Amino acid sequence: MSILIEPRQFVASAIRKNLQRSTVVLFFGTLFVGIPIAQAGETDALETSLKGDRPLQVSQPSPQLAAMTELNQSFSQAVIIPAYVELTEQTESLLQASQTFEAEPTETHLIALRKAWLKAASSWAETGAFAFGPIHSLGYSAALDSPCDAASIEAWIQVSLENANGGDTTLLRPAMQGFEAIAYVLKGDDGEKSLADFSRGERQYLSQLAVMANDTAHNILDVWQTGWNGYSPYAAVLETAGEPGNGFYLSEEAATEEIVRTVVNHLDVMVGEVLPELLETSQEQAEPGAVDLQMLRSRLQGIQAAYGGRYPAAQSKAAGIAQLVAIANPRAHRQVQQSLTMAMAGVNQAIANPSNPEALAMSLEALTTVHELLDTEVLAQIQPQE
Amino acid sequence: MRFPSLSILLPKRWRFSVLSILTTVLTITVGIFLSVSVSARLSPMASAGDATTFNRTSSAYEDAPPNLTAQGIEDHDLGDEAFEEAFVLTPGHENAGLGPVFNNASCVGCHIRNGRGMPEPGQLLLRVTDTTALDDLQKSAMDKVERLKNAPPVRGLGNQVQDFSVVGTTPEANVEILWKEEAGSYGDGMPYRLRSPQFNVTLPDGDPLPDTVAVSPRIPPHVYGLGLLEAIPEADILALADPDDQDGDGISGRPNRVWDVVKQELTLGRFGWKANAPNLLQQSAEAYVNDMGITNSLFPAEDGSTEIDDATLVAAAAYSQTLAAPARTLMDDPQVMRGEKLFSDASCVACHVSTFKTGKHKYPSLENQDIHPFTDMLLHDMGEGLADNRPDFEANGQEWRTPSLWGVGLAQTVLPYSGYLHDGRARTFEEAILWHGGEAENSKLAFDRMPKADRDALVRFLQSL
Repeated sequence: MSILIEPRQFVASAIRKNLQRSTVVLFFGTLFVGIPIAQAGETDALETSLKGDRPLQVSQPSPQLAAMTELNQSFSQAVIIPAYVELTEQTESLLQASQTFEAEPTETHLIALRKAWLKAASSWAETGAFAFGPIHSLGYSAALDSPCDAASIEAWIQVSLENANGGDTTLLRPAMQGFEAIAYVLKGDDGEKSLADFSRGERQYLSQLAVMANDTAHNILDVWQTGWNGYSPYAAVLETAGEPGNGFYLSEEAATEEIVRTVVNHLDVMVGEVLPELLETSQEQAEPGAVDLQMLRSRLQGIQAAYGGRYPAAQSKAAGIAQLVAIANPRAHRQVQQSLTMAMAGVNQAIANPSNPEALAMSLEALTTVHELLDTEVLAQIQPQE
Repeated sequence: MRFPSLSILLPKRWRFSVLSILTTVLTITVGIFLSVSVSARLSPMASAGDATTFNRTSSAYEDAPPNLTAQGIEDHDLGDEAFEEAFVLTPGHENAGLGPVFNNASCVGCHIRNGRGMPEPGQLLLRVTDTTALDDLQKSAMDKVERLKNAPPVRGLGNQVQDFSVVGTTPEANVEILWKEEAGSYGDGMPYRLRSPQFNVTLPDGDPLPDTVAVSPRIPPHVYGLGLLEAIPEADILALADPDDQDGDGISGRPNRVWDVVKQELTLGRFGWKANAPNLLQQSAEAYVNDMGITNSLFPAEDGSTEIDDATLVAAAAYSQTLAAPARTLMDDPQVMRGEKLFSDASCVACHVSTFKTGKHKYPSLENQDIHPFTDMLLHDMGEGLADNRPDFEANGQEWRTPSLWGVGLAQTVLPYSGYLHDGRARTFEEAILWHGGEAENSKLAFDRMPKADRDALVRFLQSL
């Protein structure tokens, strides 16, 4: 699949949409401002146009609309799909590492499996900044990211030992699978599980969960790239926002609002829950966990990708939310960029020195600024008003 | 083709007057056109008055009303936590107590993003009734409430098939959905296909469910805007009832009368596909016990014990009470305006009543709002095609409560591929309309006979809600 936008298709689409708007604006505009125009003695220009001496001029799309069109048409290919491709690569590594550990339970293989889990979970955390669409309705987010039910997992492992195949995994509820369940089995309650603590059933269960996580990651990618159950790829839903027949996003503004609001909602959680909790831990002289800080970093990387319009591993680049902000308020755009850089610097400092609460405080302040700016400078401009 | 210009036809001193007259006439004409269009409007953009959210994205159903008071926001946030908490098997955990059999482990597990559920992969559940006991129900030894419910439980299953269980126990049954497809065509000859679900229900011993058991499939309904529906004065709902169709319009509409567990009396049913719950507190309590196997003070265990406290139950109910309804969109789109008029002309508004004014409520922010939910909150006979043949209090096997339509246009945005109607069988608005029968037969026929452009316009209107 081409990841570049077909220029002819893009231009045709922009003109078609702009013509629809221009027709309405011209129609009502002519009617309601007709008298002032005539009174101002500008009838000659109107007459000339009516005579057909020169073609009726269609105004170019506004820079804001053009930026929205570009964002909607390029965001999936430049950000979302590359992020899910990365997720599938990491879950495949996780699967391989879990199967290796199941077959050969050595210290080296356990370390490799824990590293593979961290990479896959981080990759998943990055996608939170654009977690909309079928990821929820098809149950994928629940399958990968539910709080774990430790007692059910322990009971399952015991029961599955009696079954040669390890039990029917289709019966596993979300609370018994996904990244948190894998983390629980890998690390135990206290996080200090050693190689000797792993039973055969646990190793088998880890492999089963890795298979399920990998399948889910591939399903997510499939639904965005090729569609689900006869429906179009979800990437096409974003790309065709506002076109007749698109019942998901009735207007281009709606799709753009979706992209921006998902980032704003994600920031909401980060500045309202995640960072304050980490900061509190840090201020209580207890170091935040390395995994928690890594997840924070990944969430922030996802936001950076959505704002800048490019996932690091992507072949193409989208305009990103940045272009919209730059058009609406160049000063705000610079502020967002600086704040995102500052927030990442703070997180990196916290990872290097987890006992330093100032680094996290800096990140919190910077992300609060980003949240406010996106909310006021972009979202307020896009969402429908009464 | 070139038209002669005004400068040739008229002397210069007349040009201004003629142009002014022409513009005035045109303006008046358009004014009349617009006033007709405006008068055809069934609802304004702010569908829930001051409790409207203008978010038109996948998170729209999760917004609290912007006018919510500080206390309301606090309750909403606490309720949000209760709504998201997953129950577990883990002993000693604050959310222990799941099951032993259940349909889901949390409220949000079924009501994903507060939207409607999907039949598969999804959250469809089966309500069941022993039809052999229906005839003898009033003579049976069941208590008064069971008799009022009019739905004798099935031995071993109760009134709902719980097809999941905690590890080490067996689910009540295994449910498999089979889709039956049928072809049809519109009045203009354009073909369509409709599907309806059939069920293979296998009991733990391998036997199928007996034929004498009536099965009523349900997908989770949406949760947003419910507090506002709870705030509609009962008298205003009852005023719309016309059980004997005295006005002769072919549409009756009658209230369901259901048992209020707290007040210990019969009262108006408002919530659920058959309006079998009187308020959101009781509906939440029923969902806890039936869907998750979590006993509570309204529905305790046989020994009187409960697995959640009242604070949790009240919080969960408060969450559903404090959710906004989304604003309409594309109000000035000519196709939407056309569809709105067609919706009205086809008498859809006879049941999907557009406007109410809310009355007293626990949350003052919800009071005195002009709301536009497009429901009359009453039961209607929807014909054999949609019948589940399972009574529920005073609702018979062909009656369903008119579902609200506000925010329905965002259904696919919030949860792509989710279905419409009580069992999610309809994949599109067109299919949902074509399944209408009974009292809605004429509206369905009007849609069926519309030219495609009008059908598209009507659907566009629904998408704009």
